[in-house]
Amino acid sequence: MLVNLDPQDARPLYLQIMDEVRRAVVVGTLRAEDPLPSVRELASELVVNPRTVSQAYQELEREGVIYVRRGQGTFVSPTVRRGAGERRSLAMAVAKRALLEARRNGVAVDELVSMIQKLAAKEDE
Amino acid sequence: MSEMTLHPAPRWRDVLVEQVRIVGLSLRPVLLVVIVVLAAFTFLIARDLLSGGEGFDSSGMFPTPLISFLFPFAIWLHEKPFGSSFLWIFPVERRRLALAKVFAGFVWLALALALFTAWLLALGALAGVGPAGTIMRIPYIGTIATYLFGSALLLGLRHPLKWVFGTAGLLLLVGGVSQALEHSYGMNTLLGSSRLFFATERLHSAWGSLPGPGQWILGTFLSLGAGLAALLAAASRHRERRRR
Amino acid sequence: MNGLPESFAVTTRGLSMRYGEQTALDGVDLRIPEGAVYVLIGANGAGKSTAMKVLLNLERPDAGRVEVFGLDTASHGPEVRAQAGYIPESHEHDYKWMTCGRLIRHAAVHYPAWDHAYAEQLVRVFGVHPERRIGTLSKGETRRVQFVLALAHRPPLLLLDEPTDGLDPMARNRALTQLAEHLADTPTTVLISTHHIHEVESLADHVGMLSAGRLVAQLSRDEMRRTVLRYRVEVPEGWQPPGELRIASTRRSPGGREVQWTLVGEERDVTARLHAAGATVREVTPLALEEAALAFLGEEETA
Repeated sequence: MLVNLDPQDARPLYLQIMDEVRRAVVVGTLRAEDPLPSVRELASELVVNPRTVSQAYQELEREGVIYVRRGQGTFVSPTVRRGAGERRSLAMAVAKRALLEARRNGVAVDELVSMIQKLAAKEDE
Repeated sequence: MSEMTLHPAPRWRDVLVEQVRIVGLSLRPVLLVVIVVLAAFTFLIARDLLSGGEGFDSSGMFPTPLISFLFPFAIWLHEKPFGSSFLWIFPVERRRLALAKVFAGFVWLALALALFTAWLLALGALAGVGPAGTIMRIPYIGTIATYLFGSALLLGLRHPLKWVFGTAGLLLLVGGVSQALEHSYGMNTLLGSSRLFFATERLHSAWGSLPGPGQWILGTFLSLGAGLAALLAAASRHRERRRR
Repeated sequence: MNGLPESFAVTTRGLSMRYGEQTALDGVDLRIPEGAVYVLIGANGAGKSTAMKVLLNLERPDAGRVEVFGLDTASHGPEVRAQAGYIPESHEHDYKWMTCGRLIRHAAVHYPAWDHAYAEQLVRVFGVHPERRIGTLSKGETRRVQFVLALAHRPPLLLLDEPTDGLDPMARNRALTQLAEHLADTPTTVLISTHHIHEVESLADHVGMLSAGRLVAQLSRDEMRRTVLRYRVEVPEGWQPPGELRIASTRRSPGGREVQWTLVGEERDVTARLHAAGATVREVTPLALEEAALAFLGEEETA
């Protein structure tokens, strides 16, 4: 699992880590029962405060996305599903960012939507 | 709501022992020089003895106090008593740590004195001089006292060298001026300071001709007491506790 | 996280210190929560090094109280220092005649909590050569020894004054990753001052900004992300900003119709106020730690 943090993201770091884990699950990089890096490893790799990583892992555990096997580490929950719900929230996050960009650049919503469809169609060619 | 247990400070005994080790370690180059000097002296004296000579001058005291006065300078050469020094980062109260270092130096000084005495006795045996004669010529108390004064100087003054050279320089200057005046104009010295300068010679001979054990004990107490007092006063400059 | 009052590892009250004419610290009230990684930002001579030295009772302040883990530093200097690992700003080191290995063993005597196995590991990680004499070390090599000395006894408090100064980029990265690992293994409160602010971007969770000895701001990183934002705003000609906005820095385009502000406050509040004053908010961007710090310390932002 590769995690990249964006210093210019307004979200707290632990949320960014959580979202990255969720993204990996939805996209398929992380599957059920896959091991996650330990708090220590991830903190060291990202040069992040280990407490932040701990916080992210604890929240994910509460949500049932991951679980801790005593003495063995942290793993992706067997019951996690790449179902419609997860894909929807991912799509929503992407759409939110697109809308934000649009607003900043003075692009109207319908203009944005039609432009996206045009570009997608071109890519399929 | 922390359940943190505080880390303990080190045991005083461990700190002291480590200081003795460290001071000894730092003085290794000095030890080397001393060994070379003594070896040279041994060679010269033995050669003199074997060719029927007297060996060494049988009068006068050995100048060990002068050497032990310089000893603290060698010990504190790298560790500055004033200012931020690595030494003070340790979890030991600053004044006590300074005194521990002085004590460590004293341990090595005592060892050096003992070895010096043994060396002299050995040479004395060769020259046919009895042990009493030898031991009488080593000013043990004076040596220790000057060590204490030297340490006090270093701990108490920010710029001890300035003071030492300044005072000596001043005395030399005044002595020289009044001697010149005396020479040119036949006047007796204005301040009598040339006499001051040479007073140490008299002290030396006075010391050597002390009458009895009572005087000796008094002298011991005075010089050691003064030395210790000076040292403790100097060390107090480094006290950590702020009076509120 | 749960609203309980945090316990503070370090608190100072009205800390003040002058060096002759220069004011090093002026009424500083530091609050460093336990377990926090607190980065102290400020120009050279702003008082950062002095603050750390005062915490360890290496310097005596002119006024104010300092408490570390509930201990009054002025009267419990040695106990406080037993809880701390310190990397000083200077690369000059005493005991120049000692070998690195001997110096490490020397330090070990003074900290009963010394972890010898960890010290050996640190020596390997930082690439310290035990047989080299301290006097022959370069700036960077001295720094690495200082890291070993500071971390080996796993102190509850780390005071790091420009710790990566003098290290090449690889060594800097190694030091910071080792620090992150160290924090994962040992509950530690860290006070770090650095000019390489971007390095501690993700490590720091609290920020304090010193300017000419005054603590101009002290807040958590999360709060900073939320409330210190850059607003790109379109304004009519000759527009003046409403008085109650807390402005950290300004840029005005040549025509005067577009202004870029770094403003402090909740985004919703600030946006509402700007709109009420007749400005149109075009863009709101969060700031990296370095930019936010520059804005607070009154510097003009560079493009």
